[in-house]
Amino acid sequence: MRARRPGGIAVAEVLFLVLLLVPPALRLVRDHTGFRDWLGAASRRTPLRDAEVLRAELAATRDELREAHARLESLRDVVGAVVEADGASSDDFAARFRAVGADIVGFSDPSPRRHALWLSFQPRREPLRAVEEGGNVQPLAPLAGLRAHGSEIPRVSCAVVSGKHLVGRLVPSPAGFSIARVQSLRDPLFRVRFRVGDVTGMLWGTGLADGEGHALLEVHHRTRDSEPDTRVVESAGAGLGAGALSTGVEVVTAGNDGVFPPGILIGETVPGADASRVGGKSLVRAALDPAFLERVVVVVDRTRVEFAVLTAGESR
Amino acid sequence: MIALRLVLIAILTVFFQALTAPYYELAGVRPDFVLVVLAVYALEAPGPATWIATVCAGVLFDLLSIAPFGCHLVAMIVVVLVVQQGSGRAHGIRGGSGDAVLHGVVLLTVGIVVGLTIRPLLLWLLSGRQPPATHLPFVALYTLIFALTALPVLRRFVIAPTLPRRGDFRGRSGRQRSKWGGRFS
Repeated sequence: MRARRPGGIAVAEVLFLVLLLVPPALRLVRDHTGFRDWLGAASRRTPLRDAEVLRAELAATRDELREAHARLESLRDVVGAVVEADGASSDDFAARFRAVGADIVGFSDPSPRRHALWLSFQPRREPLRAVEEGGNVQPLAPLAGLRAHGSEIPRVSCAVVSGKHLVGRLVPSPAGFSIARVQSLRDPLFRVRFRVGDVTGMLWGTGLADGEGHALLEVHHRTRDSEPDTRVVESAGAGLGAGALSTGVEVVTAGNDGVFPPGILIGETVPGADASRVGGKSLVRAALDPAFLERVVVVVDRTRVEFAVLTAGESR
Repeated sequence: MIALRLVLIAILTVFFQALTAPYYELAGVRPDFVLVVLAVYALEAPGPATWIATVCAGVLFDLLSIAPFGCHLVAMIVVVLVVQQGSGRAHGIRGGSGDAVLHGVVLLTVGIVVGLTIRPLLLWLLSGRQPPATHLPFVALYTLIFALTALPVLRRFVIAPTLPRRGDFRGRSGRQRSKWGGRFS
């Protein structure tokens, strides 16, 4: 075997240089030329990988469809309730109101006297991606269009509902935020106009809840439509007066306060014995305990949005 | 002189590892250049210089890494210890140059596997992160390929110039000859 000349280049050194230079060079070529697409298409061509991708996309689609279905069911209940109360068609509802889906943010708050909820309008996962024939991966449009993006996030006070039940009032957050606070029925400062038959009035939050976690609201300013000028004076021994409410009657939103659409179920009246615990006022028990809700629908009144924009322009 | 050279190369290797390792990634597997250099040092130049280089590289690696301090240092010390012990025993083995090469390859393999095993174990003990055991054989193989090709290069360009051998002083100045007492001239 011929000896290596001192100072010359041996095979080992060349091999070392090649090993040192080839992997980064290959990566650079792959990253900066079409070689990457060729490599990617080749790696995707294996049947096993195709099957795994399809299976994952199918599972993701199923989840998203289930979520969209739940949202649409909730929306249908809202539309049904509003249409029934207002006597209008669903087209009228669509012309005036817009529904936006939102998730309740699971902040850790074990207090049973929790007054506020927080909503997130952000998508919970990456949008679905479809693999086209050429191997390119494109994002799919969000299903059902129930997600708010950017400017679609409501910036005015509006109703938050779950099914046909009222959850609370959305407190508008500044532009740029994709989360918002909900003033729930348990908030002592919560106010909503109600209607029971021809009796209307206002419900005030009390900050109290019954043993099952349902908020209790006081009845104030109760009047009868037939006697619009007669303000019923509340007195001890709840439920007395011209607009007396019988027990167990469903109470819905009146819809004339500019925030809540008409016909959304608030709750039902409670017996006078329970009501007498809270200063003798008539009480309404909320139909829904929001503690275990995961998602809600925000019903945005378009006229209120336009009004907010208009008044903001005038104030400048 | 030899200590300074080995320490400098080891420190440069740590920076090289930190900066360029992603470019050497193949199928999620990256070679460990620092382990390669230290194992070769321990095999070819066992002694205080290797220990100094090991401690410097280990401390620097730990400072640059987000892992708990000491993981890399301990792993490197164990690697050098294992390879040096094996190398010391090898001097007592009689055989040809082929046996020496085979012994060197075995020692490098053992050192790299030990180093790559100890570091995730230490990480697991200190930070509770579960080590990805499935990658270990591939990382060891990838690192070993680099070690086998780097061994002659490091021996020739880093270690050999610092060792006083007969013939290396041919053509050098009188000052350099007198440095070694004229024993090698």
